[in-house]
Amino acid sequence: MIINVLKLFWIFFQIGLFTFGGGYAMIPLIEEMVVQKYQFINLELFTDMIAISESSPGPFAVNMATFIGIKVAGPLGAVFATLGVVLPSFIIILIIASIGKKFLNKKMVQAAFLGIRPAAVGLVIVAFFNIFANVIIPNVSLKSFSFVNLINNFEYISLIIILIVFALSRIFKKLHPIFLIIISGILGLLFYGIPLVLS
Amino acid sequence: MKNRYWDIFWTFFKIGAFTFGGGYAMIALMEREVVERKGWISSEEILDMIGISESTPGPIAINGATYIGYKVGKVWGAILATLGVVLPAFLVISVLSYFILKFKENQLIEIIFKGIRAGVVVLIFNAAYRLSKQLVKNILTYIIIVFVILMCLLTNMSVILILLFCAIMGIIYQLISNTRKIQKQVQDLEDNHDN
Repeated sequence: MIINVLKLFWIFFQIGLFTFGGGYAMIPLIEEMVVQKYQFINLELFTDMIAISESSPGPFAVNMATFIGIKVAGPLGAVFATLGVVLPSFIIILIIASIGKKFLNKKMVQAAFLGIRPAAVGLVIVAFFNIFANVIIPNVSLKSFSFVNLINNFEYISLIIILIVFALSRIFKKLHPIFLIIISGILGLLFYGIPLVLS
Repeated sequence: MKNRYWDIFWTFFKIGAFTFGGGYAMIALMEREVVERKGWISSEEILDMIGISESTPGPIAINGATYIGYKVGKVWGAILATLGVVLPAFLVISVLSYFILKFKENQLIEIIFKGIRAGVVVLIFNAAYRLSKQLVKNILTYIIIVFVILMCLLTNMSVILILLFCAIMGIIYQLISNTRKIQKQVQDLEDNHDN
C-alpha cells in the first residue's frame, strides 16, 4: 500500500516535471506511464478520462492524477498522485518568483523551446494516431496485425461518429468541447443502442 | 492579513471550479479576477506570469496560481492559491471516479462511452491542428514534428528522453543561426569597409 502510494507520487512527479505546452501535449507521456509502463488502466478507460477531464473543472494532469490515484490506492493515492503532479511546478515557480527572473537564462530557455514547442505538437499528433487506431480498430496491435484481423475488428460505426462530430466541429467553430462530447455520447447511444435493441 | 489569505484561497478555488479543461481559459479568468476585480497585481505582472509559465514545466494553471499567489501573499499565498485551484478538480474527480469505476460494466454506459471515445478523437485532432498553426514555420519545426512522430510510433524511447532531445536540438539550432548572423554581420562590415 505505502509502496504503491510512493510509486504514484514519483510517477506523477515526473509527469508534472515534463509537462510542456499544457493540455493535450502530455497525453502521450501520461499514457506511456499509466497505460504501458505501469498498466494501471487500459487505453479505453484512458480515453474516457480525457472526455471526463474535458467536461470537469481543472487541469488535465490534476484530473488524471486524482483518478489514477483513487483507482490504484484509494483516497490516499489520490492525494499523493495530485501532490506529485503539482509539486514540480510549485517549487520551480516559487524559486523564480522569489529569486527573480534573472535566475532564468532567458536566451537558453527560449532556444530550448524552439525545439519543445514543435515536439509538443508532434506528441498531440501521436496521441491522435494512438487513440484513433484504438477507437476504429480495437484489439489490433502491430503484433497481431493482419488484413483479416483488421476487417473483423473494424468499428465502422465509430468512424461514422468521428466524421459527424468532426463536421459539426468545423461548421460550428465556437461550440464548446463539452457539447461535442455530449453529442458523441448521444450518437453512441443511437448508433450502437438501436441495433442492440432490434436484435 | 488572515482575511487576505482566505480571499486568495477562495478566489483561486472559484477559478479552479469554473474553468473546464484547464490551460489558457484559466489564465484569462485569473486575469479578470486578480487584475480587474481585486487589483492585486498589474497587467504587466500577468504578462510576466504567462511568459514564465510558458517557459517552465507543469500545467499552466498551477504555474499561474503559484506565481500570483506568491506575488500577493508570499509563500503562504502561493500554497493557498495552488491548493485553491487544484481542490475543485480533486473533489469533482474523486466523486466521479467512484461512479465511473462502479458503472464501467453497465452496457448502456458502455455504448455511450463508445460514442464519446469517437468524439475524443475529434477533440485531439482539432487540438493538434490549432497548436500547429501557432508554430514558427522553419526547417527545425518540421524536422522535430516528424522525428517525434516516428520515435513515438516506431520505437520504445521514453517521451521524456524525446522531449530532452528536442530541447537540445532547439538550442543547437539557435547557436547555428546566431553564428550565421554574426558571420553575415562581419561580412557586411568588410563589404562596407571595401566600399
